[in-house]
Amino acid sequence: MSEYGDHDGHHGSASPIIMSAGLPFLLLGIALVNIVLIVGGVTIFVAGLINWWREDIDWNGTLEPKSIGQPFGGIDIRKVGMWIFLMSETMVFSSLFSTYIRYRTNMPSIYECTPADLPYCWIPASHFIAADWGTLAPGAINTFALIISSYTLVLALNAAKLGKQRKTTMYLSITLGLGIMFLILKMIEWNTLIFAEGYRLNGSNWKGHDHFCHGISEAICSGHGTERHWVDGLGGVDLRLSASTFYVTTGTHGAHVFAGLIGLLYLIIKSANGGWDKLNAQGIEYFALYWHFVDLAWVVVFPAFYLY
Amino acid sequence: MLLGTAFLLALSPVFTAYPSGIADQNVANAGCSCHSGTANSGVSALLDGVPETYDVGETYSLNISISGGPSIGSSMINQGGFVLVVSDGSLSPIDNSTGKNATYNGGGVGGEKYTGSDILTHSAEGNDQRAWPIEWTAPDIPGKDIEFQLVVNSVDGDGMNGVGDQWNTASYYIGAPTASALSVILTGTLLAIIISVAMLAYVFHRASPDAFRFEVFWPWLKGWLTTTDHKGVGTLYFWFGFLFFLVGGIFALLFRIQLAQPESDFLTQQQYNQFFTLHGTTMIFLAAMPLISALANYIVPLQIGAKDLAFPRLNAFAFWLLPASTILIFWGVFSNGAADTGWTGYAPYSTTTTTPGTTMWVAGQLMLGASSTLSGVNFIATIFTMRAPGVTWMKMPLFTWSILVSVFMLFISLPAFVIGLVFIFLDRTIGTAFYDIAAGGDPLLWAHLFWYFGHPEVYVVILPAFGVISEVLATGSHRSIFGYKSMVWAMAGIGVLGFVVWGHHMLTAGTDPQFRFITMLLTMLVAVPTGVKIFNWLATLHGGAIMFHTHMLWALGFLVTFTIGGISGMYFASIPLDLHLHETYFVVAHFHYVFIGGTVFGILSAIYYWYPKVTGRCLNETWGRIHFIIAFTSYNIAFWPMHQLGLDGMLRRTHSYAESTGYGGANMLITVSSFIFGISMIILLVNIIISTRKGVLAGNNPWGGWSLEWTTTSPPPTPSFGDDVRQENAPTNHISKPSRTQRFISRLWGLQEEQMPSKEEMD
Repeated sequence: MSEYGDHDGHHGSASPIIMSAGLPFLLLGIALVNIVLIVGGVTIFVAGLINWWREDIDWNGTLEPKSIGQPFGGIDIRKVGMWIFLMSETMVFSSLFSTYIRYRTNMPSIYECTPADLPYCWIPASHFIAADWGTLAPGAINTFALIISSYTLVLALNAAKLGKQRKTTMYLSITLGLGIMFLILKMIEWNTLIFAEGYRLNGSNWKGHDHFCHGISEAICSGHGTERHWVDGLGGVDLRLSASTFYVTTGTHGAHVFAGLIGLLYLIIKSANGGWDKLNAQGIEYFALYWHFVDLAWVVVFPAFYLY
Repeated sequence: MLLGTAFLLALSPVFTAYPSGIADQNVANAGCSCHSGTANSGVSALLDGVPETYDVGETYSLNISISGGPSIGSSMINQGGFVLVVSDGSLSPIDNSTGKNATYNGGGVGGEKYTGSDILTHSAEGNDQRAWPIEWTAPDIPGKDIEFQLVVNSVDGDGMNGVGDQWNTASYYIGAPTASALSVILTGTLLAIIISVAMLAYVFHRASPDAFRFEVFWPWLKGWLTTTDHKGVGTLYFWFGFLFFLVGGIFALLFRIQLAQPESDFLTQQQYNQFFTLHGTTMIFLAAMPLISALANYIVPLQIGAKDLAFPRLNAFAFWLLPASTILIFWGVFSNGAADTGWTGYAPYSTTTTTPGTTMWVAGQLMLGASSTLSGVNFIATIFTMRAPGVTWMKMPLFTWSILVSVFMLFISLPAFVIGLVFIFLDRTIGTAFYDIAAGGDPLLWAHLFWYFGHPEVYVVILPAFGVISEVLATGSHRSIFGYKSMVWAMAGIGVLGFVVWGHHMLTAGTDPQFRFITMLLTMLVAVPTGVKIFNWLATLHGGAIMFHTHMLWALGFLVTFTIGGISGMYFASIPLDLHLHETYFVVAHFHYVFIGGTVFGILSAIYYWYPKVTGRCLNETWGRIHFIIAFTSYNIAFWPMHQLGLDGMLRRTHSYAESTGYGGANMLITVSSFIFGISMIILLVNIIISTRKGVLAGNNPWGGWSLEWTTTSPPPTPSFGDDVRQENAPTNHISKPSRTQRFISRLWGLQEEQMPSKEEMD
């Protein structure tokens, strides 16, 4: 990546201004629900990104700048930069979790809820997800997919350091495939939650389906066994906050996975061009730091939102 | 050239600076508030029968109708509704489908909000229609410009408010449309800048036509647009920040006109809200922070002996995100209403206000967050890994230290703000419920997320000023800084404490009393490291050979005004005093004393101090001193009376005040002084431009600084240093002259006179 070194310092790059020009159109498009603006904004951004990649693709790592002085003397500067960036990412997920904890502890859970508490009872996403294997499966598979993808990425790094180009490309592609699978399963899971279970952002008056009364107290769900149903005449639960925290937290994580896939795409293209070798495998290593972080974030998100 | 500019401006379309349209844009834009969300382009609001011109007193038949929108459900409870506001003349119903019933206009808002205009809305009977015939009687005065603003609700007939309903708005005009003052002034400013640039280009063109061939011009422009050099990006940051410093100043001057007299109506309440919101956002995010970034970009790599920043391209990306974000932040100005939330954007108002610009304003700040994160990675990595030999942690110049601490604080606190903004953005667009009280949401969550960022942000903008002042006072009094280590530890202490005091912004927000008490104590603790710094600066001056250059004058001015601002800050840390002073002008006085008297004075000092390094020439000292005297005096006259106004109980963010309060005199004084302060910045601007050609040649080290930036040429080469750079040890007290007190004390302790440096050694 040629920006990390003085040999690039003199001739500049057009990517920053192009990529920056795309973003306001994208955000305007989202706010105004205008598909033309969204597509236009993304196109401009991607044009800038491709130019960035074009500038970097033939960089061979011979001028990898090293840190000098205390405390990181001798370490690649890019590595330090990535760790610093992950510090900020940690704060992103901390903020999301603070919000989640703030709201979840503020309301009684649906399992100890009384009719007087309605509609402010917390129905956790896990109530819909962990109930049976059909709904839990996407999340569970995804957890393993991400962990395995972290492993294949390390294998790719190892292969690159040994100079095995085809193996590197293969392992990187497997990582990309696992990432894509993660997002597809996530879409399936959200689809089920939104359309089959009715776990929606506008669910201000949600009443349990008959088969979803398990674990909910007698005062709210009456009847026995499979016959249990929401007590007639009782108001529903406002699950907007629960849905908001769930979709935004898992959505933020999904966006991180997506950004990672874009990065992986670049690693694969560079690998196919023989860009990684014994002296120049650090790029994969520093991307892997990010990817492991996204993996780790999922390992925290998954139990907090899917199981508990 | 000035004449030409004035001539062209006079030729440009004439604006009505005073808004004569509908008084209350906000309600007229909101539609019936029971049909929430943003306007939907699928619905059209149609008003037929509006004449091209009107006859005095004539009555015209108009027809209101809706096209598009949701399909009507089977139950047919409601189909649609409308609110029509007209700026002049009177509206009257034809049948019982319409009326002036206040219950239906703007969700029960009373008629008094429509002062100066007339309003008509549908009645209960008219709720089942999608077209309504009405009449409009023209005013008695001929030739007025009339504006009709129509809001229609296309209802899906399920009898439920909001869900599935859509609304839109449209304006119809007789004569010329009237623009809001905000659009007028910004369009005017934009036009003035464009014409000035064109005229300037013309002048240069006449001087040397050859320089204006495309082949010459394009590489020059391309160089600036694609530069990744820290000096180039720093220069871009500077001009961006300075431009928006002036823009933010214009906002401030406009609402100072409004506040100059009691019961003034120069601006409407909505415009006033938008003005002070954009003033705050502009000054903090688009002026102060870019100007600090400019200094950091230019000076930090020079001070630590690095060739460039660690990630030059990311640095350029971080800069270009700023101009891109301004498109979003100011979007509302040109599309019917900018953000009116205050720069704090307190929920739930920020999630429910219907001014269309608020969503864009939030989106724009998200881009600012991305920008600051990128430059954060860059600066932390650079300072940690690229210090030249000799620039060890405890020999690093204090300005670089201040940038490190401030960027670190920004970097850690920013994600909370960004996530909070994402919540607002999603609440406003896809309908999440993070700050929706009806869903059990807690608006205080926003306050926590915002101030968790917002308070460190305060130190983020003041710490670099501390760094500048430390450099300037030391070189200006020809001494090394007094108590270097304690200066570093004080900044680190402020950095840590800055994270645990955000609750003092919420002392009146109903937070836990224990939380408030702890916050109060911790906030008072901040005075300790700050005090250490103030006394170290005073000790640096004491006995030094002070040269009163302009940058030194600003630094000395900083010591006075920042200390006042710091002390008035202690008033707010104390809970009982805060209960009284919160939301009064005392707050405005306090933070303008620290923001202008601290940050801006620091930046101005830095401009005079490092300008020779950047351009190779000094700024004009005479004009610099004139600028200082005018600005320093007018600044104090402008903001000092605000303390008194606050103690008297004048509320901040208030659009107007009654004549009986007696605030009028002080406010007029403030307005006049703030105009003088604003105009004095033009002196600096002209000085900066003219001195690039006519300034005194500076040489490498005009002020006698010892840090690495003074060892390279002015302006520095690219890359800024070779491989052999090394920082020598800082001289300690290099020409310090013992003061009378010191001599007295040393005699007291029986020290020999010989132990003091002699006069020869001093020179």
